[in-house]
Amino acid sequence: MFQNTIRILLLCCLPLISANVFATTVKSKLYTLSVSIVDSITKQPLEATSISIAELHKNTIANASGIGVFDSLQKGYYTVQCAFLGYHPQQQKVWVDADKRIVIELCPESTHLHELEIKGHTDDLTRLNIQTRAIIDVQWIERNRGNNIADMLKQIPGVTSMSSGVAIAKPVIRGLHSNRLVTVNDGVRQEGQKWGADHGTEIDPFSSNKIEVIKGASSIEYGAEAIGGVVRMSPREFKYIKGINGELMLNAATNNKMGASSLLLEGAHGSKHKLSWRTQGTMRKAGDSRSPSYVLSNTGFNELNGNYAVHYQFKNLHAEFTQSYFSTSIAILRASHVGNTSDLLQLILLGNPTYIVPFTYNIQNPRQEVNHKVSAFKTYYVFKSGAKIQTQWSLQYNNRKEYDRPPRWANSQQKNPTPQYYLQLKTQLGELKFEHPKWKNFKGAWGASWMKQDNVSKGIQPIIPNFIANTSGIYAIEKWQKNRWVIEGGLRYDWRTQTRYFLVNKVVKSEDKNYGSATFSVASSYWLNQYLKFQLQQSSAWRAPSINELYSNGLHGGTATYEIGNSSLQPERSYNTEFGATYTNKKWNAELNLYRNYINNFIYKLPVNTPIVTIRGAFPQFVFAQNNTLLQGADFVAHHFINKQFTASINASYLHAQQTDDNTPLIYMPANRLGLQIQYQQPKIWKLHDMFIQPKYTYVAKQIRYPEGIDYISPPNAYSLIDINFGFEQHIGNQKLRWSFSIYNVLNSSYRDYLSRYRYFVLEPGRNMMIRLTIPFNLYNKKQII
Amino acid sequence: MKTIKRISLSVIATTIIFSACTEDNIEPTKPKDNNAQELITTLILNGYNANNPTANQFSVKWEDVDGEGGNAPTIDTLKLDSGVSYRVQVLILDKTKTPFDTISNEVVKEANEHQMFYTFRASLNDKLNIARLDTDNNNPPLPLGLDIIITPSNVTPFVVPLIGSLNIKLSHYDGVPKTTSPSAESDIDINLPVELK
Repeated sequence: MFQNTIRILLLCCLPLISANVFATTVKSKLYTLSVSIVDSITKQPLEATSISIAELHKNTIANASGIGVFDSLQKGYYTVQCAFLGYHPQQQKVWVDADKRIVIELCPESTHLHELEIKGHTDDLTRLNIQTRAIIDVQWIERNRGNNIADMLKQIPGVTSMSSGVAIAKPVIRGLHSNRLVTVNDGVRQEGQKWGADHGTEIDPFSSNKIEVIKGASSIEYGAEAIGGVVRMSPREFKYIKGINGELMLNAATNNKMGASSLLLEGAHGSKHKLSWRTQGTMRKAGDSRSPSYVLSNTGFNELNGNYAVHYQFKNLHAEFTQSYFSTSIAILRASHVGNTSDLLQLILLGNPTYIVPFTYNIQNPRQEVNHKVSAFKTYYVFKSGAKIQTQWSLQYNNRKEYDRPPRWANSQQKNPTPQYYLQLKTQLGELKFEHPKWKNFKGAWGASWMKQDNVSKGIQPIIPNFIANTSGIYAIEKWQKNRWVIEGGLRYDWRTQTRYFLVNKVVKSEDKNYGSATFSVASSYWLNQYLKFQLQQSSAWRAPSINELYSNGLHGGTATYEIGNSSLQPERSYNTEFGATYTNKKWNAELNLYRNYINNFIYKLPVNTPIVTIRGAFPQFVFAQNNTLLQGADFVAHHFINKQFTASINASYLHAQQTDDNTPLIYMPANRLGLQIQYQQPKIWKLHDMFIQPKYTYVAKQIRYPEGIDYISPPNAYSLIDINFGFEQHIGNQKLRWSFSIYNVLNSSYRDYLSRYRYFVLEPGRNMMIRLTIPFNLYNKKQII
Repeated sequence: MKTIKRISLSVIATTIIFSACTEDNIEPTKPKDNNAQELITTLILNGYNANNPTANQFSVKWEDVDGEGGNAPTIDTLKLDSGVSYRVQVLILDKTKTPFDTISNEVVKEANEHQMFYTFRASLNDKLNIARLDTDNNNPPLPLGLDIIITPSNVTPFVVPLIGSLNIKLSHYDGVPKTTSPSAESDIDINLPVELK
């Protein structure tokens, strides 16, 4: 029965849930809960809505005033679920310790968007809500699981991914990536060697139940650096009802013969002192991918992840402890590690990789071995006034070993046990946040954070130096709301000290760099009428130069370039202006966002005319330099609800990036793209529940804006892809099985992507069929609530 | 209730397992020197008159002792006379090791996966011929190229010496069959200035 509670929480437009709680003290031990159901747009009561309490298997039907009543309830947490034809089912957790009345707003199906939030969500008032953000919900994640996280985000207009094969991909938001984005997993800022273009996201892709992308510079809460945006991933919420449930997720793919499985268990016990826990283990194993014409030799990976979380509640105090472990071995396309520039040019001329062997699961050099561990302890306390105080402490270890292509003289890998790079990063984070209760029309939060990072570089080639960095920040966010207007503002100040340690004639020397600056954001939204909303945002953020930009010095095997850091770099500062319009009615939902992000002192790689001469040949040299850059663009998405079964969708993104000092286009910017999709859905057809078919067409244009004479080849041609998703839920007795099938690149098209680091060497993978099965189960469940 | 306890216990056990994975001490304040790596720093051509080993001797060197980046390599000029055939032995060294590591011995050991290529460029491409004398263990044998003969096609000296260059490439065939063409993996790819009188 838990399967009901995880039933797709469809995230809709507008403030969905506005719980209105009237509590009266009743001495008897049984309480009454009345649930009032209204249309989220018209606010009209919805008669005959079916309302149920999942834990008790109790059902009722709303009366003519849209109200359903449950009486004789014991004290406890309940999941209230509502369903009405033509509306998205909705559920809400309610703590009943008195007679209560709640209002649940149902969103018409015609206005539903899986991927599109939701401006002004009421659940979290302490973050800036008037931001261009998109949410990928559990349903979409489940239907696309098995892919890496960055690929899941590609459906959001303005978001693309930068990849090195199937195993490594990182999100690119409006042309910005790596150090310019902040990734937050389960409330903890993820810290690894994220500066590397071939350093993927070190998070279990099965652990997230919700992924939120905040575009543009506006991260007041998560600190400096997030010039491009924030990716927030959240795990499944804790279970509050006694018992033990679980979910088994299985996954297989044809292209790289991937198999993946993930087992999740969760439970709760106690009533006064509530203890909830959750644990999950995931395994993914894949072999070589295949392009339409040849095997991409040495592109497999092997991943093993685990995590657990314990939540304890005593009255108004909540405490949570989580630990997670991620580990992966990734094979790097053998053909991509070239000796020198002339080898690279020879390969480009040839057009095909020279190293092709039959499919294998073996992982050979070049390869990466990465693991990431996070421990976090969080508490929060809610005062009677509604104020809330929150603390968080976390410790992360990121270990990255990169092994170069097979050693020159040896066949056996044992002869080269030392990784080329071996980087260890330890990050400690502390956060304190205070949310003040509503005062007049204001709500808000104030906070402080502290971060200490220790980095050690080992291996043959220390590509970045050892360093210790201390960052601290303070911030305040306030929100003012009245009638049709919402105005929000946030201000933050950060200090950063970074000390580098290096050897000069075997004597340790150190060098300090100090930075400090402010981040701010002001935004307002205005409802013109019940269908149309406008919003305007102005924000400014900064980013201190990262360690590789300052000090890197070495060869990059994959691109045959020699990169040299520049220790005199100044921080980047962005000024982002954004305008958004959202239109929602029963037939249409559309959103347009226009942005203009001006970045002062943008750090980029400047080619140097003289190549660096080595015994292995000549390599082009790049030095990190700064320039002013303007990124302008538009993201558009629209859904048309043709009828209850059919929905047509379109999304498009356009980006124009220019270095304004010398008036040249910025290199490696994602090409403009267009997506079209039709969805057919049927709640029940024959014995299949929640059946859907989703053909999708994606067009990626050729990037015609690039600086001449820097890259070895001009950007690849435009390409089109067709994907099909299909799925349903099967009921065998009480057991539910959720199936989904995907065919990616249905036509087996040969193409290369401009943001793929393998584009010089090989085609992207060809057709891939994926099958997924999710089995929710129930180990132990006591129906009565103590 | 027992089930809950059992499962809770296993969760606690997992906790302990996780916590047991402690880290090495991470001490950024103590940087270490670069680890020894397999470097090629030096390539030497030791030549003499093919018909008279004590005549026309030379030793020409391409050397970059501090490896990639840093100081620029030192590069000698190969000076050749018309009318003389040169027998040349190629020596490849890693001078970062003590004693020097003779990489060319390793190349000989793995002759089936390596091959040297020599190309004269500019005005010299038809004025000088190169023959590789040593071979590997393939059947039929393929050239290795650490023992070579350079023969100028002219017998009489040039009044104005011809200037050009010699490209020396060591191809590595790893996982790909060795053929008579270079592979896409060059362990060495250098240019030596050449002067032909």
